[in-house]
Amino acid sequence: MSFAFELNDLRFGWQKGRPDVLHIDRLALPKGEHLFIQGASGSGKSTLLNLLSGVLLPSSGKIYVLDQDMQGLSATQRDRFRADRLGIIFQQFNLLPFLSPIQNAQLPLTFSPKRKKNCAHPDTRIASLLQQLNLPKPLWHQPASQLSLGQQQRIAIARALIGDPDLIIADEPTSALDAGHRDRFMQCLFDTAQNGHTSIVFVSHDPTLAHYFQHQFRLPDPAETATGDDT
Amino acid sequence: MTFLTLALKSAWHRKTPMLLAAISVAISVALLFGVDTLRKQAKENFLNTVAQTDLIAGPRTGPVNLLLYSVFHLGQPTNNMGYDSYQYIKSHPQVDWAIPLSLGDSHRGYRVIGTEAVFFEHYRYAEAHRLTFESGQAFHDLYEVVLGAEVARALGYELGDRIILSHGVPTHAQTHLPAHDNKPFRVAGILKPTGTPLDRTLQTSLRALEAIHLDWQSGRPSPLQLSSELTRKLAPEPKEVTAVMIGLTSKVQTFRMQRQINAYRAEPLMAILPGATLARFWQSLRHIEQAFMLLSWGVFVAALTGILISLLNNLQQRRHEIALLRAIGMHPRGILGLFWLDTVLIMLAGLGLGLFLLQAALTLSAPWLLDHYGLHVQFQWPDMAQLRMAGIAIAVALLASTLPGWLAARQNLQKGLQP
Ligand SMILES: Nc1ncnc2c1ncn2[C@@H]1O[C@H](COP(=O)(O)OP(=O)(O)OP(=O)(O)O)[C@@H](O)[C@H]1O
Ligand SMILES: [Mg+2]
Repeated sequence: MSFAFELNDLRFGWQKGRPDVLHIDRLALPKGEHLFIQGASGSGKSTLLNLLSGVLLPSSGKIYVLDQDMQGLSATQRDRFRADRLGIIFQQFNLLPFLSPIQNAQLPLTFSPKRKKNCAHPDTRIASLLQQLNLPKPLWHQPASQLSLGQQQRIAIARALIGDPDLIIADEPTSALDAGHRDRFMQCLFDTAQNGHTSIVFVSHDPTLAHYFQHQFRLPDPAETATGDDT
Repeated sequence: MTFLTLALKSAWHRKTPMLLAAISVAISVALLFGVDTLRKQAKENFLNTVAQTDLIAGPRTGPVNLLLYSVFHLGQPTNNMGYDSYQYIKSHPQVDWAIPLSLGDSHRGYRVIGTEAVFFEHYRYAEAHRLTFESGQAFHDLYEVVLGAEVARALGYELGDRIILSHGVPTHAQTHLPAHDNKPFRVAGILKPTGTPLDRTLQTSLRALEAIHLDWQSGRPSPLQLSSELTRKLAPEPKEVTAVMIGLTSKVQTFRMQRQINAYRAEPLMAILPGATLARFWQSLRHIEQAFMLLSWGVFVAALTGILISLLNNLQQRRHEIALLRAIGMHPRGILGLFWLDTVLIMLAGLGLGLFLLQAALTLSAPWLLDHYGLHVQFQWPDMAQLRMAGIAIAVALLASTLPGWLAARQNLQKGLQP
C-alpha cells in the first residue's frame, strides 16, 4: 500500500533538554485520502506540518512523505521536493498582495519545472479552478490585497492545487473565516482535490470540521502532559 | 512570470520606502560627485589659464601669492616692479614674448588690466587658444578699453560706450572707490568668452593707466586737475608693472631663465613656473579637499545605514511574502537575490536622482561661483573615476544588504512555515 505520508516512532523537540513537543508512535495516511488533525493550541499541530513539509527534521524516528525518506534528502532537495509535490495553505497571508489572483495561482509554476510540466494549459486550468472556487470574474485581474479574506483563502486553494501536487497541507486555513465562508472553503477544497485524487492533511482546533474527513487524529493536550511530568 | 518581474513587482509594491532610501542615496551621490567635480573643474580652470605661460615674473613675494594675484586676480599685489625690468625681460634673447600686467584699478567691481598690444597677440588659454574678438578690436587710442566677455554681458556694454574707471579694487572694507571721472574710456572691443578669469576683466594700455593717474597723488585726486586732452599730449611713459607673463623660445631654457630673473641685479625680482606653483597651491589645499571627500563619504555611509535599516525593517514586513515564496519553492538564494535587487534598484535610482540633483545644483550655483571665485563649472557626466566610485558604492551596498537578505533566508526556516 502506498502512503501519502507515514510516521514511525517520531519524536521532535525544539530544544535539547526540554520535553519533546511531539511524540507519535505511528501515523499514516493512504494516498488520495484525507486526514484531519485536531489539537489544542500549542499541542504541536504546526510543528507536525512543518515536519511533513520538510522544513523541519525529526529528532528521532522515521518520516516518509509520498514514499520519500525525508531524512535522506538535503535541505535543498527538500525545498525542491516541497515545491514539486506539495501544496501548502496557511492560516492567512497566502497571496502576494501586489499580484492578481491569476498571477498568484500561477506562482508555483514559476518555481517548479515539474509542476509546470504537469500543467499543459495554465490559463485554462487556473480559469476553471477560479470558476470552481466561485471567484467573480471581475476580481481575477485585481490586486489580491483588494479581495476579502474569504476570497483570498479560496484563491489559496487554487495556488496550492496548480500543477497537481500529490499532497495538500493546510494549517488552520479557516480559522479567520466566519461560518458561511468556512463551509464554502471546505466545499471548494474537497471538490477541487477530488478531481486529482489529491491527499489532504488538514489541521485545526475546530472539531466541527472533522466530519469532512474519513481519517482523524488527535494530538495530546500539552497541559496534560506537562502536569503529568511534574508529578 | 519570471523571477525578475516578480521581484520588480514586489519592489514597486514598496515604492515609498524605496524612494525615500533612494533620495538619501541621491543626496550623498550629489555631494560626492559635486565635491569631486568642483575639485577637478577648479584645477582644470586654473591650469587652462596658465597652460601656455612658461614663467611669471614679479617683485619678490610668495610664489603662490604672485601666481594668484597676477593671473587669477585673487588677493592684492603688495608692490610692483619697474617698467625697465619688464623691458629687460622682453628684450632677453631667450624670451619669445612677454606680457606686462598692471593691476590696481577697477570698473564696477571688475579688475582692469593695464597691458600692451602684445597681450592680444600672445595671450593663450586652455590648449593654445588665441584671444578672439566678439566685436571690435584691440585698444589703439589712449582712452580705449577692451572688455572681457563676462563684463560686457553682465553690464550690458556695447562698442563705443563710454565708461569711467575707479581707483583701486573693491574690498569688503571699501565699497565706494574714487573715480577717474574726468577721463572716460571708449569701449573699443569685446572679447569672446575664454572660460578663464580674463572674462571678468577689462584691458587697457599701460600708458592709459599712467595718464589717468598723472594728476593723482598718493591715491587721491590732486587739486590740480588735468584735462584728458592735456594728459594725452603729455603722453607719459609707464613706470611700473605688477607682473610679467613670459613665453620662451625654447622650454629647455625655463630653469635657466628663472635663475637669471631671480638673480637680476637692478631690483629684487622673482620668476615662477605657473604649473609647478599651481601644483604647490593645490598641495596646500589638500587637507581641505580630503576633508570634503571624507565628509561626502560620511554622508554616503549614513545613506547606506539608512538602506540597511529600511531593509531590516522590510524583513519584518516581508516575512509573509518570504515564507510564501519559500513554501512554493523559492531557494534561499532567491530570497537573497530579492534583497540584492532591492538594493541595486535603490542605488541606481539614487544615482540617477543624484546626478539630476547635482545638475540642478551646479546650474543654480554656476553664476555665483563665477562671480565670487571666477570658476567656470558645468555639469559633466561621470568620468571613469566617478563611475568607479559609483561601482564601489553599489558593491558596498550589496555587501551590506547581504546581512538582511541572509537573515531573511534563514529566519523563515527557523520559524517554519507559519507566516
Ligand atoms: N520556532 C520555535 N522555536 C521554539 N519553540 C517553538 C517554535 N515554534 C513552536 N514552538 C513550540 O512548540 C510547541 C508547539 O507549537 P505549535 O506552533 O506546533 O503549536 P500549534 O498546535 O500549531 O498551536 P496553535 O494552535 O496555537 O497554532 C509550543 O510549545 C511552541 O512554544
Ligand atoms: Mg499552529
